[in-house]
Amino acid sequence: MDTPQELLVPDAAQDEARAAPVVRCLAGTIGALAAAGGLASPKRLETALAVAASIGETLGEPSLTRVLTLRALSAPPAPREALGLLETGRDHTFRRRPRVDHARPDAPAGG
Amino acid sequence: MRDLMRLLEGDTRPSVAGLAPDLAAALDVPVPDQPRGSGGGLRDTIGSIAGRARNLMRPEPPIYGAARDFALEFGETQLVAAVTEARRSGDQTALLQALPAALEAVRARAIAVVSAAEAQAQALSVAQDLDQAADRIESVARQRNAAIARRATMLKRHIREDLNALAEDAAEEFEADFRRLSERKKGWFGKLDTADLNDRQVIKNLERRYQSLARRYQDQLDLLDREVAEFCDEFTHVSDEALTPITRVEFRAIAPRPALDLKAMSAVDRASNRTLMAGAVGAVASGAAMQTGIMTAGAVIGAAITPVGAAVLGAVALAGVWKMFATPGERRMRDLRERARTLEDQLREEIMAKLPRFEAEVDAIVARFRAAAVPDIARPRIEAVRIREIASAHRGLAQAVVAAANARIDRLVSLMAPQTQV
Repeated sequence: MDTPQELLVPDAAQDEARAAPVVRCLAGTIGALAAAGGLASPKRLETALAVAASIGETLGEPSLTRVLTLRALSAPPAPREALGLLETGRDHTFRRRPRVDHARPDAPAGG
Repeated sequence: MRDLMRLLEGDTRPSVAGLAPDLAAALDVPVPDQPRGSGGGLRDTIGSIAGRARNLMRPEPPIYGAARDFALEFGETQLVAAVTEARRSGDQTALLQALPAALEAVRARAIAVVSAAEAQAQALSVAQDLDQAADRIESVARQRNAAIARRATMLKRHIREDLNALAEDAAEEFEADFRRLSERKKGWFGKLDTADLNDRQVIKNLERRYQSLARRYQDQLDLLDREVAEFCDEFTHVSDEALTPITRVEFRAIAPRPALDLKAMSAVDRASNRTLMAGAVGAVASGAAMQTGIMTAGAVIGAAITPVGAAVLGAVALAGVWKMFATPGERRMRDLRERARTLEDQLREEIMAKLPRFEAEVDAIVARFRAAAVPDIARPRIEAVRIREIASAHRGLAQAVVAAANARIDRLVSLMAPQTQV
Protein backbone atom coordinates (compact mmCIF):
# COMPACT_ATOMS: atom_id res chain seq x y z
CA MET A 1 0.00 0.00 0.00
CA ASP A 2 1.71 3.14 -1.19
CA THR A 3 1.32 6.35 0.74
CA PRO A 4 -0.54 8.98 -1.34
CA GLN A 5 1.84 11.75 -2.37
CA GLU A 6 -0.58 14.57 -3.08
CA LEU A 7 -0.78 17.73 -1.03
CA LEU A 8 -4.18 19.07 -2.07
CA VAL A 9 -4.56 22.76 -1.28
CA PRO A 10 -8.07 24.25 -1.55
CA ASP A 11 -8.49 27.59 -3.29
CA ALA A 12 -10.70 30.51 -2.28
CA ALA A 13 -13.73 29.20 -4.17
CA GLN A 14 -13.48 25.77 -2.55
CA ASP A 15 -13.05 27.35 0.86
CA GLU A 16 -16.05 29.58 0.25
CA ALA A 17 -18.15 26.59 -0.81
CA ARG A 18 -17.31 24.90 2.47
CA ALA A 19 -18.30 27.89 4.59
CA ALA A 20 -21.35 27.65 6.80
CA PRO A 21 -24.57 28.70 5.04
CA VAL A 22 -25.31 31.14 7.83
CA VAL A 23 -22.34 33.27 6.71
CA ARG A 24 -23.79 33.57 3.22
CA CYS A 25 -27.30 34.18 4.53
CA LEU A 26 -26.26 36.96 6.89
CA ALA A 27 -23.96 38.66 4.39
CA GLY A 28 -26.72 38.58 1.78
CA THR A 29 -29.19 40.00 4.26
CA ILE A 30 -26.88 42.85 5.24
CA GLY A 31 -26.34 43.70 1.60
CA ALA A 32 -30.02 43.44 0.76
CA LEU A 33 -31.19 45.57 3.67
CA ALA A 34 -28.50 48.22 3.23
CA ALA A 35 -29.20 48.50 -0.48
CA ALA A 36 -32.94 48.62 0.17
CA GLY A 37 -32.37 51.67 2.35
CA GLY A 38 -30.50 53.35 -0.48
CA LEU A 39 -26.81 53.25 -1.03
CA ALA A 40 -26.30 56.91 -1.73
CA SER A 41 -25.45 57.30 1.93
CA PRO A 42 -21.80 56.94 2.83
CA LYS A 43 -22.94 56.42 6.41
CA ARG A 44 -25.03 53.40 5.44
CA LEU A 45 -22.15 51.89 3.51
CA GLU A 46 -19.88 52.37 6.50
CA THR A 47 -22.50 50.88 8.82
CA ALA A 48 -23.09 47.89 6.54
CA LEU A 49 -19.38 47.16 6.39
CA ALA A 50 -19.03 47.60 10.14
CA VAL A 51 -21.92 45.21 10.78
CA ALA A 52 -20.40 42.72 8.33
CA ALA A 53 -17.06 42.99 10.08
CA SER A 54 -18.65 42.45 13.47
CA ILE A 55 -20.68 39.44 12.35
CA GLY A 56 -17.71 38.04 10.45
CA GLU A 57 -15.56 38.19 13.55
CA THR A 58 -18.26 36.52 15.59
CA LEU A 59 -18.74 33.76 13.03
CA GLY A 60 -15.00 33.25 12.66
CA GLU A 61 -15.12 34.17 8.97
CA PRO A 62 -14.17 37.85 8.89
CA SER A 63 -12.79 38.13 5.40
CA LEU A 64 -15.37 35.87 3.80
CA THR A 65 -18.24 37.77 5.42
CA ARG A 66 -16.82 41.05 4.13
CA VAL A 67 -16.39 39.64 0.64
CA LEU A 68 -19.92 38.26 0.54
CA THR A 69 -21.39 41.46 1.98
CA LEU A 70 -19.59 43.58 -0.60
CA ARG A 71 -20.84 41.28 -3.34
CA ALA A 72 -24.36 41.61 -1.98
CA LEU A 73 -24.02 45.39 -1.81
CA SER A 74 -22.76 45.54 -5.37
CA ALA A 75 -25.56 43.39 -6.72
CA PRO A 76 -28.13 43.29 -3.94
CA PRO A 77 -30.65 40.51 -3.69
CA ALA A 78 -34.27 41.41 -2.99
CA PRO A 79 -34.69 41.94 0.76
CA ARG A 80 -37.65 39.56 0.93
CA GLU A 81 -35.65 36.87 -0.79
CA ALA A 82 -32.73 37.42 1.54
CA LEU A 83 -34.93 37.35 4.62
CA GLY A 84 -36.77 34.29 3.36
CA LEU A 85 -33.52 32.40 3.00
CA LEU A 86 -32.42 33.63 6.40
CA GLU A 87 -35.60 32.17 7.88
CA THR A 88 -35.21 28.80 6.23
CA GLY A 89 -31.49 28.76 6.90
CA ARG A 90 -30.92 27.06 3.58
CA ASP A 91 -27.72 27.37 1.70
CA HIS A 92 -28.31 29.39 -1.35
CA THR A 93 -26.99 31.64 -3.99
CA PHE A 94 -28.92 34.83 -4.28
CA ARG A 95 -30.45 35.67 -7.58
CA ARG A 96 -28.67 38.83 -8.59
CA ARG A 97 -30.72 41.80 -9.57
CA PRO A 98 -29.57 44.38 -12.05
CA ARG A 99 -27.20 46.77 -10.41
CA VAL A 100 -28.88 49.94 -9.20
CA ASP A 101 -27.45 53.21 -10.37
CA HIS A 102 -27.22 55.00 -7.04
CA ALA A 103 -25.87 58.13 -8.70
CA ARG A 104 -29.32 58.93 -10.03
CA PRO A 105 -31.23 60.77 -7.34
CA ASP A 106 -34.51 59.34 -8.62
CA ALA A 107 -33.18 55.79 -8.71
CA PRO A 108 -35.31 53.28 -6.81
CA ALA A 109 -33.90 52.56 -3.42
CA GLY A 110 -34.64 48.87 -3.77
CA GLY A 111 -36.81 46.52 -1.80
CA MET B 1 -27.23 40.38 18.17
CA ARG B 2 -28.58 38.28 21.00
CA ASP B 3 -29.74 35.57 18.62
CA LEU B 4 -26.35 35.49 17.00
CA MET B 5 -24.68 34.97 20.34
CA ARG B 6 -27.10 32.19 21.26
CA LEU B 7 -26.52 30.64 17.87
CA LEU B 8 -22.80 30.63 18.38
CA GLU B 9 -22.90 29.57 21.99
CA GLY B 10 -24.89 26.56 20.88
CA ASP B 11 -27.16 26.34 23.91
CA THR B 12 -30.24 26.67 21.76
CA ARG B 13 -31.07 26.71 18.10
CA PRO B 14 -32.52 30.15 17.67
CA SER B 15 -33.91 31.31 14.39
CA VAL B 16 -31.25 33.09 12.41
CA ALA B 17 -34.11 35.14 11.03
CA GLY B 18 -34.34 36.67 14.48
CA LEU B 19 -31.28 38.66 13.54
CA ALA B 20 -33.08 40.49 10.76
CA PRO B 21 -34.66 43.19 12.94
CA ASP B 22 -31.32 43.83 14.61
CA LEU B 23 -29.59 44.12 11.26
CA ALA B 24 -32.31 46.42 9.95
CA ALA B 25 -32.10 48.60 13.06
CA ALA B 26 -28.33 48.84 12.75
CA LEU B 27 -28.70 49.91 9.14
CA ASP B 28 -31.67 52.17 9.94
CA VAL B 29 -33.89 50.54 7.37
CA PRO B 30 -37.29 48.91 7.84
CA VAL B 31 -37.66 45.15 7.74
CA PRO B 32 -39.82 44.25 4.74
CA ASP B 33 -43.35 43.11 5.69
CA GLN B 34 -42.82 43.94 9.32
CA PRO B 35 -44.16 46.94 11.20
CA ARG B 36 -41.48 49.15 12.57
CA GLY B 37 -40.95 48.77 16.28
CA SER B 38 -41.55 51.32 18.92
CA GLY B 39 -38.03 52.60 18.58
CA GLY B 40 -39.10 54.87 15.78
CA GLY B 41 -36.66 56.40 13.39
CA LEU B 42 -36.15 59.21 10.99
CA ARG B 43 -38.88 58.03 8.68
CA ASP B 44 -41.34 57.87 11.56
CA THR B 45 -40.29 61.26 12.81
CA ILE B 46 -41.11 63.13 9.66
CA GLY B 47 -43.30 60.72 7.76
CA SER B 48 -46.40 60.70 9.89
CA ILE B 49 -49.80 60.41 8.33
CA ALA B 50 -50.84 63.69 9.91
CA GLY B 51 -47.92 65.47 8.38
CA ARG B 52 -48.67 64.09 4.98
CA ALA B 53 -52.31 65.10 5.27
CA ARG B 54 -51.25 68.61 6.23
CA ASN B 55 -49.05 68.77 3.16
CA LEU B 56 -52.01 67.89 1.00
CA MET B 57 -53.94 70.85 2.37
CA ARG B 58 -51.04 73.30 2.31
CA PRO B 59 -48.50 72.75 -0.48
CA GLU B 60 -44.99 73.30 0.84
CA PRO B 61 -41.95 74.66 -0.96
CA PRO B 62 -39.96 72.02 -2.93
CA ILE B 63 -36.95 72.58 -0.70
CA TYR B 64 -38.89 71.02 2.19
CA GLY B 65 -39.43 67.74 0.36
CA ALA B 66 -35.92 67.70 -1.01
CA ALA B 67 -34.44 68.42 2.42
CA ARG B 68 -36.66 65.77 3.99
CA ASP B 69 -35.58 63.15 1.43
CA PHE B 70 -31.96 64.17 1.85
CA ALA B 71 -32.19 63.94 5.64
CA LEU B 72 -33.86 60.53 5.38
CA GLU B 73 -31.34 59.14 2.95
CA PHE B 74 -28.28 60.40 4.76
CA GLY B 75 -29.52 60.14 8.33
CA GLU B 76 -29.12 63.83 9.13
CA THR B 77 -31.10 64.23 12.33
CA GLN B 78 -30.51 67.96 12.73
CA LEU B 79 -31.82 68.54 9.25
CA VAL B 80 -34.86 66.48 10.16
CA ALA B 81 -35.51 68.78 13.10
CA ALA B 82 -35.05 71.84 10.90
CA VAL B 83 -37.51 70.53 8.31
CA THR B 84 -40.05 69.76 11.02
CA GLU B 85 -39.64 73.25 12.50
CA ALA B 86 -39.89 74.93 9.10
CA ARG B 87 -43.08 73.03 8.36
CA ARG B 88 -44.53 73.95 11.71
CA SER B 89 -43.61 77.61 11.69
CA GLY B 90 -43.37 78.32 7.99
CA ASP B 91 -40.02 79.99 8.64
CA GLN B 92 -37.25 78.60 6.44
CA THR B 93 -34.41 80.41 8.18
CA ALA B 94 -33.40 77.56 10.45
CA LEU B 95 -33.74 75.10 7.56
CA LEU B 96 -31.50 77.16 5.29
CA GLN B 97 -28.94 77.36 8.08
CA ALA B 98 -29.10 73.62 8.75
CA LEU B 99 -28.79 72.61 5.11
CA PRO B 100 -25.15 73.68 4.51
CA ALA B 101 -24.10 71.87 7.69
CA ALA B 102 -25.87 68.73 6.55
CA LEU B 103 -24.32 68.97 3.11
CA GLU B 104 -20.91 69.45 4.65
CA ALA B 105 -21.42 66.48 6.94
CA VAL B 106 -22.35 64.26 4.00
CA ARG B 107 -19.38 65.52 1.99
CA ALA B 108 -17.11 64.73 4.94
CA ARG B 109 -18.51 61.21 5.15
CA ALA B 110 -18.04 60.76 1.43
CA ILE B 111 -14.42 61.74 1.82
CA ALA B 112 -14.12 59.29 4.70
CA VAL B 113 -15.60 56.51 2.57
CA VAL B 114 -13.14 57.20 -0.21
CA SER B 115 -10.29 57.26 2.31
CA ALA B 116 -11.41 53.93 3.74
CA ALA B 117 -11.51 52.43 0.25
CA GLU B 118 -8.05 53.78 -0.48
CA ALA B 119 -6.76 52.37 2.78
CA GLN B 120 -8.20 49.05 1.73
CA ALA B 121 -6.36 49.33 -1.54
CA GLN B 122 -3.13 49.77 0.38
CA ALA B 123 -3.74 46.34 1.84
CA LEU B 124 -2.98 44.96 -1.61
CA SER B 125 0.67 44.96 -0.66
CA VAL B 126 -0.27 42.74 2.28
CA ALA B 127 -2.00 40.43 -0.19
CA GLN B 128 1.20 40.22 -2.15
CA ASP B 129 3.14 39.41 1.00
CA LEU B 130 0.63 36.74 1.91
CA ASP B 131 0.97 35.19 -1.52
CA GLN B 132 4.73 35.17 -1.21
CA ALA B 133 4.49 33.68 2.26
CA ALA B 134 2.10 31.03 0.95
CA ASP B 135 4.57 30.23 -1.82
CA ARG B 136 7.38 29.82 0.70
CA ILE B 137 5.26 27.70 3.01
CA GLU B 138 4.06 25.60 0.11
CA SER B 139 7.57 25.06 -1.15
CA VAL B 140 8.73 23.86 2.26
CA ALA B 141 5.57 21.84 2.87
CA ARG B 142 5.81 20.09 -0.48
CA GLN B 143 9.45 19.20 0.14
CA ARG B 144 8.63 17.84 3.55
CA ASN B 145 5.56 16.06 2.30
CA ALA B 146 7.58 14.37 -0.42
CA ALA B 147 10.26 13.38 2.09
CA ILE B 148 7.72 12.09 4.58
CA ALA B 149 5.83 10.18 1.91
CA ARG B 150 9.05 8.61 0.63
CA ARG B 151 10.05 7.63 4.11
CA ALA B 152 6.61 6.23 4.86
CA THR B 153 6.68 4.16 1.69
CA MET B 154 10.15 2.93 2.49
CA LEU B 155 9.20 2.11 6.07
CA LYS B 156 6.26 0.04 4.92
CA ARG B 157 8.33 -1.78 2.33
CA HIS B 158 11.11 -2.50 4.79
CA ILE B 159 8.89 -3.91 7.48
CA ARG B 160 7.18 -6.11 4.91
CA GLU B 161 10.52 -7.43 3.69
CA ASP B 162 11.85 -7.92 7.21
CA LEU B 163 8.80 -9.78 8.41
CA ASN B 164 8.84 -11.97 5.34
CA ALA B 165 12.47 -12.76 5.93
CA LEU B 166 11.75 -13.46 9.59
CA ALA B 167 9.02 -15.93 8.69
CA GLU B 168 11.24 -17.73 6.17
CA ASP B 169 14.21 -17.89 8.49
CA ALA B 170 12.10 -19.06 11.39
CA ALA B 171 10.60 -21.83 9.33
CA GLU B 172 14.02 -22.98 8.19
CA GLU B 173 15.38 -22.97 11.69
CA PHE B 174 12.42 -24.93 12.96
CA GLU B 175 12.84 -27.48 10.22
CA ALA B 176 16.52 -27.87 10.91
CA ASP B 177 15.90 -28.14 14.63
CA PHE B 178 13.22 -30.79 14.27
CA ARG B 179 15.41 -32.69 11.84
CA ARG B 180 18.24 -32.73 14.33
CA LEU B 181 15.89 -33.94 17.04
CA SER B 182 14.49 -36.73 14.90
CA GLU B 183 17.95 -37.84 13.85
CA ARG B 184 19.21 -37.85 17.40
CA LYS B 185 16.25 -39.72 18.88
CA LYS B 186 15.38 -42.60 16.61
CA GLY B 187 11.82 -43.07 17.72
CA TRP B 188 11.05 -39.46 18.23
CA PHE B 189 8.05 -38.05 16.44
CA GLY B 190 7.44 -34.48 17.25
CA LYS B 191 6.75 -35.04 20.87
CA LEU B 192 8.33 -32.51 23.14
CA ASP B 193 7.46 -30.95 26.41
CA THR B 194 6.43 -27.31 26.02
CA ALA B 195 8.87 -26.12 28.68
CA ASP B 196 11.72 -27.90 26.94
CA LEU B 197 10.66 -26.45 23.60
CA ASN B 198 10.64 -22.94 24.96
CA ASP B 199 14.20 -23.46 26.11
CA ARG B 200 15.36 -24.44 22.67
CA GLN B 201 17.69 -22.12 20.86
CA VAL B 202 15.47 -21.86 17.80
CA ILE B 203 12.68 -20.39 19.89
CA LYS B 204 14.99 -18.00 21.66
CA ASN B 205 16.50 -16.88 18.38
CA LEU B 206 13.14 -16.22 16.86
CA GLU B 207 11.93 -14.37 19.88
CA ARG B 208 15.08 -12.26 20.02
CA ARG B 209 14.94 -11.42 16.34
CA TYR B 210 11.32 -10.52 16.51
CA GLN B 211 11.79 -8.32 19.54
CA SER B 212 14.68 -6.61 17.85
CA LEU B 213 12.62 -6.06 14.71
CA ALA B 214 9.64 -4.78 16.62
CA ARG B 215 11.80 -2.44 18.67
CA ARG B 216 13.51 -1.08 15.60
CA TYR B 217 10.26 -0.33 13.81
CA GLN B 218 8.74 1.08 16.93
CA ASP B 219 11.70 3.44 17.13
CA GLN B 220 11.24 4.41 13.51
CA LEU B 221 7.57 5.08 14.05
CA ASP B 222 8.26 7.07 17.18
CA LEU B 223 10.80 9.13 15.32
CA LEU B 224 8.46 9.70 12.41
CA ASP B 225 5.67 10.68 14.78
CA ARG B 226 7.85 13.05 16.76
CA GLU B 227 9.23 14.79 13.74
CA VAL B 228 5.87 15.13 12.06
CA ALA B 229 4.51 16.50 15.34
CA GLU B 230 7.25 19.12 15.28
CA PHE B 231 6.39 20.01 11.72
CA CYS B 232 2.74 20.23 12.65
CA ASP B 233 3.51 22.53 15.56
CA GLU B 234 5.58 24.72 13.32
CA PHE B 235 2.87 24.96 10.69
CA THR B 236 0.15 25.57 13.22
CA HIS B 237 2.21 28.37 14.69
CA VAL B 238 2.62 29.97 11.28
CA SER B 239 -1.08 29.62 10.62
CA ASP B 240 -2.08 31.31 13.85
CA GLU B 241 0.24 34.21 13.23
CA ALA B 242 -0.42 34.56 9.53
CA LEU B 243 -4.10 35.08 10.01
CA THR B 244 -3.80 37.95 12.41
CA PRO B 245 -2.93 41.38 11.14
CA ILE B 246 0.82 41.48 11.39
CA THR B 247 3.51 43.41 9.69
CA ARG B 248 5.45 41.98 6.83
CA VAL B 249 8.63 41.93 8.83
CA GLU B 250 7.01 39.86 11.55
CA PHE B 251 5.55 37.48 9.05
CA ARG B 252 8.88 36.88 7.43
CA ALA B 253 10.31 36.19 10.84
CA ILE B 254 7.89 33.39 11.57
CA ALA B 255 7.49 31.88 8.12
CA PRO B 256 9.39 28.64 7.70
CA ARG B 257 12.31 28.95 5.38
CA PRO B 258 13.27 26.44 2.72
CA ALA B 259 16.68 26.31 4.34
CA LEU B 260 15.22 24.64 7.40
CA ASP B 261 16.39 21.09 7.62
CA LEU B 262 13.93 18.39 7.02
CA LYS B 263 13.93 16.80 10.37
CA ALA B 264 12.18 13.55 9.55
CA MET B 265 9.13 11.75 10.32
CA SER B 266 6.86 10.46 12.90
CA ALA B 267 5.31 7.70 14.86
CA VAL B 268 2.56 5.37 15.60
CA ASP B 269 0.25 3.85 18.04
CA ARG B 270 2.47 1.83 20.30
CA ALA B 271 -0.32 -0.61 20.90
CA SER B 272 -0.12 -1.92 17.37
CA ASN B 273 3.49 -2.84 17.75
CA ARG B 274 3.03 -4.28 21.16
CA THR B 275 0.29 -6.45 19.75
CA LEU B 276 2.52 -7.42 16.89
CA MET B 277 5.33 -8.29 19.24
CA ALA B 278 3.15 -10.16 21.70
CA GLY B 279 1.50 -11.95 18.83
CA ALA B 280 4.76 -13.18 17.42
CA VAL B 281 6.06 -14.27 20.80
CA GLY B 282 2.80 -16.07 21.38
CA ALA B 283 3.07 -17.62 17.97
CA VAL B 284 6.51 -18.86 18.71
CA ALA B 285 5.43 -20.47 21.96
CA SER B 286 2.09 -21.81 20.88
CA GLY B 287 3.34 -22.76 17.44
CA ALA B 288 6.09 -24.80 18.98
CA ALA B 289 3.69 -26.36 21.41
CA MET B 290 1.33 -27.28 18.63
CA GLN B 291 4.09 -28.82 16.61
CA THR B 292 4.83 -31.21 19.41
CA GLY B 293 1.18 -32.00 19.85
CA ILE B 294 1.44 -31.33 23.57
CA MET B 295 -0.58 -28.26 24.25
CA THR B 296 -0.63 -27.20 27.82
CA ALA B 297 -3.52 -25.17 29.17
CA GLY B 298 -1.27 -22.16 29.51
CA ALA B 299 -0.13 -22.38 25.91
CA VAL B 300 -3.67 -22.52 24.61
CA ILE B 301 -4.70 -19.53 26.63
CA GLY B 302 -1.65 -17.63 25.40
CA ALA B 303 -2.43 -18.58 21.84
CA ALA B 304 -6.02 -17.57 22.10
CA ILE B 305 -5.28 -14.05 23.14
CA THR B 306 -2.73 -13.46 20.43
CA PRO B 307 -4.01 -13.53 16.86
CA VAL B 308 -0.80 -15.01 15.56
CA GLY B 309 -0.90 -17.89 17.98
CA ALA B 310 -4.57 -18.45 17.39
CA ALA B 311 -3.98 -18.85 13.70
CA VAL B 312 -1.19 -21.29 14.25
CA LEU B 313 -3.60 -23.45 16.17
CA GLY B 314 -5.11 -24.21 12.80
CA ALA B 315 -1.84 -25.81 11.82
CA VAL B 316 -2.08 -28.11 14.82
CA ALA B 317 -5.37 -29.37 13.54
CA LEU B 318 -3.90 -29.84 10.09
CA ALA B 319 -0.96 -31.71 11.50
CA GLY B 320 -3.32 -33.91 13.47
CA VAL B 321 -5.34 -34.75 10.39
CA TRP B 322 -2.19 -35.49 8.46
CA LYS B 323 -0.93 -37.79 11.19
CA MET B 324 -4.02 -39.92 10.94
CA PHE B 325 -3.49 -40.69 7.26
CA ALA B 326 0.25 -40.95 6.98
CA THR B 327 2.33 -44.00 7.52
CA PRO B 328 4.88 -43.61 10.31
CA GLY B 329 7.94 -43.81 7.98
CA GLU B 330 6.75 -41.30 5.45
CA ARG B 331 5.00 -39.33 8.04
CA ARG B 332 8.21 -38.47 9.79
CA MET B 333 9.79 -36.69 6.82
CA ARG B 334 6.54 -35.21 5.58
CA ASP B 335 5.83 -34.05 9.06
CA LEU B 336 9.07 -32.12 9.22
CA ARG B 337 8.51 -30.46 5.89
CA GLU B 338 4.86 -29.87 6.52
CA ARG B 339 5.48 -28.42 9.90
CA ALA B 340 8.06 -26.05 8.55
CA ARG B 341 5.87 -24.99 5.66
CA THR B 342 2.85 -24.63 7.83
CA LEU B 343 4.71 -22.60 10.37
CA GLU B 344 6.16 -20.33 7.71
CA ASP B 345 2.83 -19.86 5.95
CA GLN B 346 0.98 -19.23 9.13
CA LEU B 347 3.61 -16.95 10.54
CA ARG B 348 3.76 -14.96 7.32
CA GLU B 349 0.02 -14.83 7.04
CA GLU B 350 -0.36 -13.59 10.56
CA ILE B 351 2.39 -11.03 10.23
CA MET B 352 0.92 -9.78 6.98
CA ALA B 353 -2.47 -9.57 8.64
CA LYS B 354 -0.96 -6.95 10.93
CA LEU B 355 0.58 -5.00 8.10
CA PRO B 356 -2.54 -3.08 7.02
CA ARG B 357 -2.82 -1.70 10.52
CA PHE B 358 0.84 -0.82 10.61
CA GLU B 359 0.55 0.86 7.22
CA ALA B 360 -2.59 2.64 8.31
CA GLU B 361 -0.67 4.03 11.26
CA VAL B 362 2.06 5.27 8.98
CA ASP B 363 -0.55 6.82 6.67
CA ALA B 364 -2.25 8.44 9.65
CA ILE B 365 1.02 10.12 10.57
CA VAL B 366 1.49 11.40 7.03
CA ALA B 367 -2.14 12.55 6.93
CA ARG B 368 -1.59 14.44 10.18
CA PHE B 369 1.26 16.33 8.60
CA ARG B 370 -0.87 17.21 5.57
CA ALA B 371 -3.77 18.26 7.75
CA ALA B 372 -1.43 20.71 9.48
CA ALA B 373 0.36 21.94 6.38
CA VAL B 374 -2.53 22.41 3.94
CA PRO B 375 -4.35 25.15 5.88
CA ASP B 376 -1.08 27.02 6.27
CA ILE B 377 -0.65 27.10 2.54
CA ALA B 378 -4.28 27.67 1.70
CA ARG B 379 -5.22 30.33 4.20
CA PRO B 380 -2.65 33.02 3.35
CA ARG B 381 -3.47 32.46 -0.31
CA ILE B 382 -7.21 32.61 0.27
CA GLU B 383 -6.81 35.70 2.43
CA ALA B 384 -4.78 37.31 -0.34
CA VAL B 385 -7.53 36.61 -2.87
CA ARG B 386 -10.11 38.05 -0.51
CA ILE B 387 -8.07 41.12 0.29
CA ARG B 388 -7.91 41.84 -3.43
CA GLU B 389 -11.63 41.27 -3.89
CA ILE B 390 -12.46 43.40 -0.85
CA ALA B 391 -10.24 46.23 -2.09
CA SER B 392 -11.72 46.13 -5.56
CA ALA B 393 -15.36 45.88 -4.45
CA HIS B 394 -14.89 48.48 -1.71
CA ARG B 395 -13.37 50.93 -4.14
CA GLY B 396 -16.14 50.38 -6.68
CA LEU B 397 -18.87 50.76 -4.09
CA ALA B 398 -17.26 53.82 -2.56
CA GLN B 399 -17.07 55.47 -5.95
CA ALA B 400 -20.71 54.67 -6.65
CA VAL B 401 -21.84 55.88 -3.24
CA VAL B 402 -19.85 59.10 -3.45
CA ALA B 403 -21.17 59.77 -6.95
CA ALA B 404 -24.71 59.19 -5.70
CA ALA B 405 -24.15 61.42 -2.67
CA ASN B 406 -22.71 64.18 -4.83
CA ALA B 407 -25.69 63.96 -7.17
CA ARG B 408 -28.06 64.41 -4.23
CA ILE B 409 -25.97 67.28 -2.90
CA ASP B 410 -25.95 69.01 -6.28
CA ARG B 411 -29.70 68.66 -6.57
CA LEU B 412 -30.25 70.07 -3.13
CA VAL B 413 -27.83 72.91 -3.77
CA SER B 414 -29.71 73.78 -6.95
CA LEU B 415 -32.95 73.92 -4.97
CA MET B 416 -31.31 76.00 -2.27
CA ALA B 417 -29.98 78.59 -4.68
CA PRO B 418 -33.24 80.51 -5.27
CA GLN B 419 -33.95 80.50 -1.53
CA THR B 420 -30.59 81.92 -0.58
CA GLN B 421 -30.76 84.60 -3.27
CA VAL B 422 -33.97 86.00 -1.84
